[in-house]
This record gives sequence, structure tokens and C-alpha cells, in this order.
Amino acid sequence: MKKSKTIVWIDDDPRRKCTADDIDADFINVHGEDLAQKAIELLNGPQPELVILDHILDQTAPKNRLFQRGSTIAEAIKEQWPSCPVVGVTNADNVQGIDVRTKEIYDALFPFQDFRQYIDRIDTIKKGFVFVARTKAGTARKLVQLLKPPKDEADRLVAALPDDLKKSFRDKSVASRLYRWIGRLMDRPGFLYDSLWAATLLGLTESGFQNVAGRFEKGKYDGVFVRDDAPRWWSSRLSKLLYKQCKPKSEEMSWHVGRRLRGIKKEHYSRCYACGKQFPDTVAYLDKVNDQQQAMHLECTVLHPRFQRELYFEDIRMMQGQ
Amino acid sequence: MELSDFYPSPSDLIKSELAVLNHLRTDSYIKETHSQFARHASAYYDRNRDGHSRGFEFVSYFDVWHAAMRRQKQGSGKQGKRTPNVRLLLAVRIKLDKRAFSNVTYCLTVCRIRSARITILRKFHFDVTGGTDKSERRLQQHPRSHLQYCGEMVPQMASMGCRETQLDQMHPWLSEPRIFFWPMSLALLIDMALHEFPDDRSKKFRASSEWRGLVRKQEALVLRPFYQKCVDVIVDTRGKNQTLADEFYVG
Repeated sequence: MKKSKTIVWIDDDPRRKCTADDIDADFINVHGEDLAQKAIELLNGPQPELVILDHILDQTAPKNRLFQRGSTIAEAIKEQWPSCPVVGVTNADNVQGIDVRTKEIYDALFPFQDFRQYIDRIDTIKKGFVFVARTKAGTARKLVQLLKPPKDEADRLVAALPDDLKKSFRDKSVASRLYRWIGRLMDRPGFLYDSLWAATLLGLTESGFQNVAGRFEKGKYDGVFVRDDAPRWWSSRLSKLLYKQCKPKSEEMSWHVGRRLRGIKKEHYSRCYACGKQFPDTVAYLDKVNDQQQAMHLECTVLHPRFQRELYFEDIRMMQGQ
Repeated sequence: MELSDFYPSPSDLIKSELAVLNHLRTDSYIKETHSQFARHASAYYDRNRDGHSRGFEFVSYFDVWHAAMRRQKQGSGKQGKRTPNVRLLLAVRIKLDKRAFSNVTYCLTVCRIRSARITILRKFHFDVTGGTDKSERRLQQHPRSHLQYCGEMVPQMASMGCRETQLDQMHPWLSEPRIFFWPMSLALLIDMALHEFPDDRSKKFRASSEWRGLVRKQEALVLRPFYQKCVDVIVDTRGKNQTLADEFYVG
């Protein structure tokens, strides 16, 4: 199949062309145009490396609502080019109103207002899709190897792969499905930790962890679809690197040993948000509606009712009520 | 008699204990019912994984409801969730000295959970002595593999709610008798603890094929050579007139 090394941006707002120019995208202005016709022209050409679609295309002609949504075009693109990443953009106000199923048609959906902060991510998506397509992983294990996981986590990662990825890793849509799954790995602590989880594992506050983060660089996730704006660390590599730097004394756990790292002061010691005592060993939401998370003792938390337990992943918890 | 005549090598034993921790840290029953235990299993797995030469450590607990503990006043009805009244504290320490066993201890402590404190009711040590631990000088002969009532506090017990003074009633200074006993392992200890203090879910956990597989592996690793050695001594027909004590007592 013929492929071009281009990003295509389809939009009915010509003012967005300058943003498209910033990322070297071919801008297709569909303002007052027949969107279906433009889509057919696109699909008859070579496969681009990435397509950006405005979600609301109500300035097109004819005024058929079916062809006034980027998601409709995204479906057609995915059918023709399953390995092509499709990113939606829309006004921030619209994002909340779009149903989950429609959102899932896109590989990612970003609000246009903050578009610049997503440019790196779009680049990551583009490169990741190309990389996955080139690699042509022939087994589930090879697919997992794209994440560059710690050796002893590979088996568990293969086991944790969703069934569709385990069974049909040769399917052309594999990059799209892998991208979603990695997004999930990054969201749900377990294999990967964000900076709050990483800090808590080491007995530190997030600012304390920032002081020593450089020494855990080798523990950082740097596999396919790596995101610089949201670093993650392999949880097993964090403890491995920690114990390499500081041998644990008898009865010491990672949250004790982390405090002995060079550059750590008392003010960097983590404390349980709920009871104020030392050595919190988990991270929990403040309550079931609050999005803020803090380090806490496991016994100061309960399971969060909105999250299900998942094998191989940490439980999502919230602070225990009084 | 050498320890290796009836006991696995340090690397085989530690590898096996790590496999048990690896299972416990993700098992759904452990995660759901004993989340603290799963957390400890995960942390100790990471801690022990690359430290074979340093040995192996693990301490955690199960909080369970035990019918024989006549304290339960609330929530004990069929519909209500029974509040745990017993804490089963499990501790393992495999000490190595130059890659050889120095001392191996498996400890089971049974505590009563009161509203404000934990009271120690029973405490047992299952020990295997390697003979290289200089801190463990004993005044008299003892079985290499033995069961000891009480024994001293495991340091982490304090952080899990126990107070050393609670052991006074059991006179922890008295180590005798050290009862000749089969060697213990983590899966065997957990299986025994949950067998003795069961609930409906722990029964299912113990019946799961994965868990039974781990127990059977540790039975084969730890118990089989021990019993084989015992049988060899008992059936010896070379006229030595020896007893198990002759073979297994050292010091």
C-alpha cells in the first residue's frame, strides 16, 4: 500500500491552518465544501502518517448532519487504513458532550484551545504507529517487547494483554489497539507508576522524588508511545534501582531505604494524608468525587467504588471516611 | 549429617519462596480480603528478588474472624460482615552466610484483635539451623529442624501492633524444648494458618489449583528430602541401632 509521510488536517475553520502549518500538516479546508467528496479524494490517495480531524464540521455543504462529524470520516479512514492514526480536535466545551463510543473512534481527542501542549503527543502517536507497523510483531510476546519492559515483567504483561491483542496481533489495527492499552497501563498504577506513586514507593514526597529522579532514569518507561509530558516508571525497576544504590538493612522496606538516598532531607519524607503518620504505602483519592490523590496508609483507605479491581494492577482506593 | 542431606540449597529455597510471593501479590483472594498482605508480598518480592546473597525476609499478617474467639458482639450475623478478631502474623527470615544457610526461621503468631490493641495469644517458631550463626550459640544439643514455642519478638511485629511485654507471660527466654519437627516453608505456613483459621473464601483460595500447585512444589522441595532422610535412618539395617535424634540433633 502506498503511504505518504504527511499529516493531513481536515477542518472547516480556515483559521486553524496556521496551527496545521506549525506541525507541517497538509490542511484541507472543507468550509463550504462537500465533505463526503473531500473524504473520497483523500481515501483515493496514499495513506498519510496521521490524520487530524475537526470533530464538528458544521460549516460544510451539503448540510447533511451525517457528514458534519469528524467521527464519521474517522470511521471511513479506519476502515480504509486501519494502521493510520486519527486524532480528533474540537472546542474544549464540546469534549465533555461527546459520548464515549464516539470518542473511541479517534485514537485521541484533544481540545483545540490547548492544542500546542498536545503537539508532542501527536508526534509520539505518529512515530509509534509507524514503529508498530514496521515491527510487525508476530507473537504477543514480541508485541510486549515494544514496551521495552523489565525482563521479569514480560510474562505478566503478556498475561495482562487484552484478549483482542493476544489473539490478533497481526491485524492492521494493532497499533491503534496497542496505543489504547498503553494509555491504560499509564493511567492505572501497577506495572507503571506516576511520580506520586514512585515517590510513595520510596517513602518520599513528590518534590523529594524530583531531587533523586535522575538516579532512576533507567527505570523510566521509554517504550513505544512514550510520553515526555507524563513520565512513568516501571515499578519493579524503581525498587531494583533503589536497592542497587542503597542496600536494605534487615526489616527495611523500599519506603525506609528511599529516605537514605543522597540529597533527601526530612522535609522530603512522605506522610499519610489521612493520619499524618510516616511511611504511607499507597496512593488514594480524597473521596469518590474528588480527582486529587495523596499518599496514604493502606489501612487509612478503602476501595474506590468507581473502580474495579484488576489483576496485576494496584487497587484504586480512596480515603476512609470518619 | 550435613544440612544438604535433607534440606534444599539456599538458591532453590529462595527461588521457591519468591514464586510463592509472586503468586500472593496478585492472587484475587489475597488482594481483596487481605490487601495489606498483598501489598507486603509485592514489596518483599521486589526487595528479595535480586538479593539472594542477602537471604530472604517476609513479614505480614492476615486479619480473620475466628469462631472460637468469644468476643464478637457485633456484625456476626449471617448477613453482616464479620469483623476480624484474630491477627495471624507470619514472618520468614532466611539468613545466609557466604551463600550457606546461617539460620532459617518461620514464625506464626496468633493475636487477638481488641478494639484498641493487639494481644499475643500464641507464638511458634519453625527453625532450621545452619550452624554458622554465631549469634545463635546454644548451651545444649538441639534438632536441626525444630518447632519452638514462643521465642523472641520478630522486630517487625512491633509495627504490626504487638508489644514485647506481651511475650513475658510465655517466658521467651526459655528456648527449650526445641521439638524435632519437619522444616517449614512460606506456602506450607500460610496453608496451615488458613487451614486452622478458615473462612469460606480462604477455603476456596486453598483449594485453587494454582495454590495447591505451589504447596505441592514446596512439599516436594522441603518435606520430601526430610522424610526421605527420616525413612533412611529408620529402615537402616546396618546394625547401627541409631535413632532419628542421633542424626538430627546437633550442637
